[in-house]
Amino acid sequence: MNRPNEIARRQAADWFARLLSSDATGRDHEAFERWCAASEDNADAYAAVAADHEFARLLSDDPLIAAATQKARIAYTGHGNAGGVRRWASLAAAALVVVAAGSLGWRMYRDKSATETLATAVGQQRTVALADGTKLVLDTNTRLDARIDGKARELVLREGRIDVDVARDPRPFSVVSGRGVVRDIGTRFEVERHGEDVAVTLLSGAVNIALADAGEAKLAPGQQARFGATGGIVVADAEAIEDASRWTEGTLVFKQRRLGDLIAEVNRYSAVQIRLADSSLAELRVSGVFHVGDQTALLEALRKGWSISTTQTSDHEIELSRK
Amino acid sequence: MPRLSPGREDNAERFDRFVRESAPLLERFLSRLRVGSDDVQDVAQESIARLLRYRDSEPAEAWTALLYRIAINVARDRARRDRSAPRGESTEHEAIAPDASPEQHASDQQALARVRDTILGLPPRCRAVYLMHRVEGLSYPEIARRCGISTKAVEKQMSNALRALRDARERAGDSA
Repeated sequence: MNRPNEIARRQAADWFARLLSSDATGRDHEAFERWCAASEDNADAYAAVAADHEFARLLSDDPLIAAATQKARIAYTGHGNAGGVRRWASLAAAALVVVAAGSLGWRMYRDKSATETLATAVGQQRTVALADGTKLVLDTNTRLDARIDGKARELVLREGRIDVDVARDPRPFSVVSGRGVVRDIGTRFEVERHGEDVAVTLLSGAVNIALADAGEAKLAPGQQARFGATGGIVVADAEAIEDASRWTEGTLVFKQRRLGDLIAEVNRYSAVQIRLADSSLAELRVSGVFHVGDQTALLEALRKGWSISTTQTSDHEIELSRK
Repeated sequence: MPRLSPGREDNAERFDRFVRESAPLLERFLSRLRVGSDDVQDVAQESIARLLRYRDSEPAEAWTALLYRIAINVARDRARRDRSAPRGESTEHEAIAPDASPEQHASDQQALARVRDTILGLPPRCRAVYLMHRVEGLSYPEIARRCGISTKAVEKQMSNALRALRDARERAGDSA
């Protein structure tokens, strides 16, 4: 990439951003046209920048982009110091209402002890630091309540998967999920819940799991406990423990996994669901490392490595079949 | 806030008016790009026809910026054809073609993944500004108000985001 191109690229981005502005003037157009006509590089650079921008529109429905947009919407709600005093004057009444509603919300939040609801959308992942320093990673489509008061720290997992890195603190730490309670003794562990089925995987330290009515179990690192709506706790060695928490870095690792399981796993991250046209495909064993939400790369790998053909059957469904 | 644009105007009517008003601008631009005077009318017409594809998907404020891009491509195509290079290659800087081949579609998907990763990797404020504009369709003044920055700063963040997209494409070695 040579210098002139780089300069043209920077100027092209500046020009395009200027022309998208609703206050671009006739004088701007005039100056832009002169810049554009000055060299072919300039005109090309402009066309390329514009094409990238048009391209980006196609991502509006992408779950990760939608989640990031949602996050931006929440982070920037207009309470900041806006430019333009006149505008502020005309908005003064509206702003007062917003501020009042905002502080009322804050008081209600404070009064309800310190329970905080945390959630992620489909395809979204999120890292949260709790008031005690505990680090949580929320996987796709997860919902939980966190309450920390003077005596205890408690999470209630309603749905989804979390990775918990518990901060050292004299107050006991527990996670309630389905029928069970996970009590921790200085640890990193994961809890996954879908409906009434819960899996607890211990990465380091020690945890104790107790069911309301059916006994308890203690886990050693690398072990996984499962329980459902009925029955007891089943403890087993977790599969490929070193890969168990890779999802927190946005990576899914599969080693000789049933294709049926793999599809169920990746479908949790996407609004576009993958379906097997031929149920015998579910037993196929598949290995690979995929970026969370990168359905395209997965489909590509299946086409190339496993002779599977993929057909987009609707806006939100892709069908897999044997070639 | 009442919008300054005529509220009840139908998008199609607005587009027609845009076309009428931008015709002189477009012709001036094309002659600056050294499109021969015999061809200016044709190129202008073809550009408008292509812009029509974006009428309902891109906000009216973006039409001018888009029209410039399209006009550059149409002019380039024509110059190439006149040099009688009988290659079937079409516009270099077109966004996804609606009738793309499966191969084209696969590389588009790769490009989309790259654009997505680039956007997600932008600094938070820059990313927020870009997404508010691109996904939510907010104007610069609206974004400025939400972020508590000036409209000029919004423009700067937009430019930074656009440049990041462009740089990522360059790194991927996909200069098309």
